[in-house]
Amino acid sequence: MRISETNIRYLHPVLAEHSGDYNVFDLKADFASPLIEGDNVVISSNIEINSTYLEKKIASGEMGLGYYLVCQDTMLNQLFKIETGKHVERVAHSKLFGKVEIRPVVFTNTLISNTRDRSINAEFGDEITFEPASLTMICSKVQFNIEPAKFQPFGALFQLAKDDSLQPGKIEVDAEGDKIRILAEGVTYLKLLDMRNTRQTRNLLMNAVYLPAVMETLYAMRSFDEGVAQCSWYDVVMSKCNALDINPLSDKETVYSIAQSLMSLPVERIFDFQEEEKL
Amino acid sequence: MKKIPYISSSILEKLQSSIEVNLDRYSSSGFCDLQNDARWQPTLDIEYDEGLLSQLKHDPNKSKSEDDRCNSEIVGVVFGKLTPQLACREEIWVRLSHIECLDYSRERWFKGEANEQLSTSVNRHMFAPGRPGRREYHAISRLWWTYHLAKCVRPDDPKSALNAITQSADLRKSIFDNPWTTSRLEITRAIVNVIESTPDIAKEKNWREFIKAVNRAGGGKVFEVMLPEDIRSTLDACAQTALCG
Repeated sequence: MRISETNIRYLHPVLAEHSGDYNVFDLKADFASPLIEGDNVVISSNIEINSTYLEKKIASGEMGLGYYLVCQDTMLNQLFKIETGKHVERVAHSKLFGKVEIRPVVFTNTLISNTRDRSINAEFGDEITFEPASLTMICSKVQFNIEPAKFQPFGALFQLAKDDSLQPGKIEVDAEGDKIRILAEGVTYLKLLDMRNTRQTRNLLMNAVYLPAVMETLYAMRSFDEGVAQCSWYDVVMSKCNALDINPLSDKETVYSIAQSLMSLPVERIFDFQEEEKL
Repeated sequence: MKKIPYISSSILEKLQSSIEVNLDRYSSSGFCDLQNDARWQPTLDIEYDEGLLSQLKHDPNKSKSEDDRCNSEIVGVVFGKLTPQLACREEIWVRLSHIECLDYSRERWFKGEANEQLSTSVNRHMFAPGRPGRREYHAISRLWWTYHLAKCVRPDDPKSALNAITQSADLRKSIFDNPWTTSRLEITRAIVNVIESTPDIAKEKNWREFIKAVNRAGGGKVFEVMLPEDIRSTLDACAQTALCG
């Protein structure tokens, strides 16, 4: 059962590169880079087996096409049965971590005993038998790396909170706790919540309120205050900056520029929304 | 119910590089005073039963397998809502072994040790870098992954599967050392059934011959499309081969 990269020899023909069991090896197995969509990892494949014999067997149901998806770190090893051509599979992101290997295969669903097809190497004789549940095609492995979900996504570091000591309409930022609090008096707070939860106004809020809050956070980091460095958000922001190859503590870049990078250019989302409104 | 805690990456790095400095903490005083640092305080949005976790104890009167089996069940149930992805995160396990489960970790792995020996044990059992660290060595993580496998094999009765795969340290280790077998649940389920029906197969020599026979018989076999009874009869035949060998 260990499928290795070296030549594999079975008692029955197996379509594989360099096996020589079939006279021609013509197989296309393309996998797009996996996308993270919500809670799922989306795997898009396009497999074409240009073997008339195997295509007929798959079409009749005597054989099946699929791929093994293996993530050793999470102990996931699953066979996904698919159709030839384009196929999309969704796997829970929470089941994957790090290196993921995909190996397309064709397998028998039943005992097959036939006259040897002309495409199969004559060394197998005139009659071919495939036992049930046998591999009949093995493709090269494809590898991906799946990044884990962040413990604390960047956006989750910020929290709207009430502070009735503030003047209505005025916003302040408190970066001294576990989360970075964006403070406003009661009525203002409720309006901001509403704007955040409304699609039409959310992107405006990101620019008018959250972007300055991120800038204030960066100013706090640049104060080199030990207390700030010990806040639990500090490492998360630092880590996000590192991932973007930004040093938030250096004045080579302005906090305004860094904040826009951390928020993935929030002004653009206003334009996207405007375009949608026009359609 | 509390939420599952973890430490920040900077604290993880600091602990890893400060083992020698913290030997006294590992052997006796602990790390509770450091919890005031916010980097020790983040939590996941997943609860755990701290009451049940308080039952995690090392019992020197039990065999190591039996002791690990009992504690695997406790850790597996307490942290049952962790996903496999989260369970690969060292920050969670290091926090647990340093605070919530320090007493157990100390008693099980390095009680009475000092100096270089203590340092080596701490490095091995209190940190979980990579897959071997998580599966084999970390004091708490290894218990979770053992129970996780049992739960995957028999979701409705993980305890019985746990009993089967933890009959001895060797058996557990060899199951985890064969990831191409154990992560294919159809095979592992059948292996657990064989262990239960043919207890002699768990003996060292028999077990090794059995795994060899399974690897030989399974070459090129797509167990995932076989009926459970056919998988079982294949593995029963492997067991007979091993016992007669």
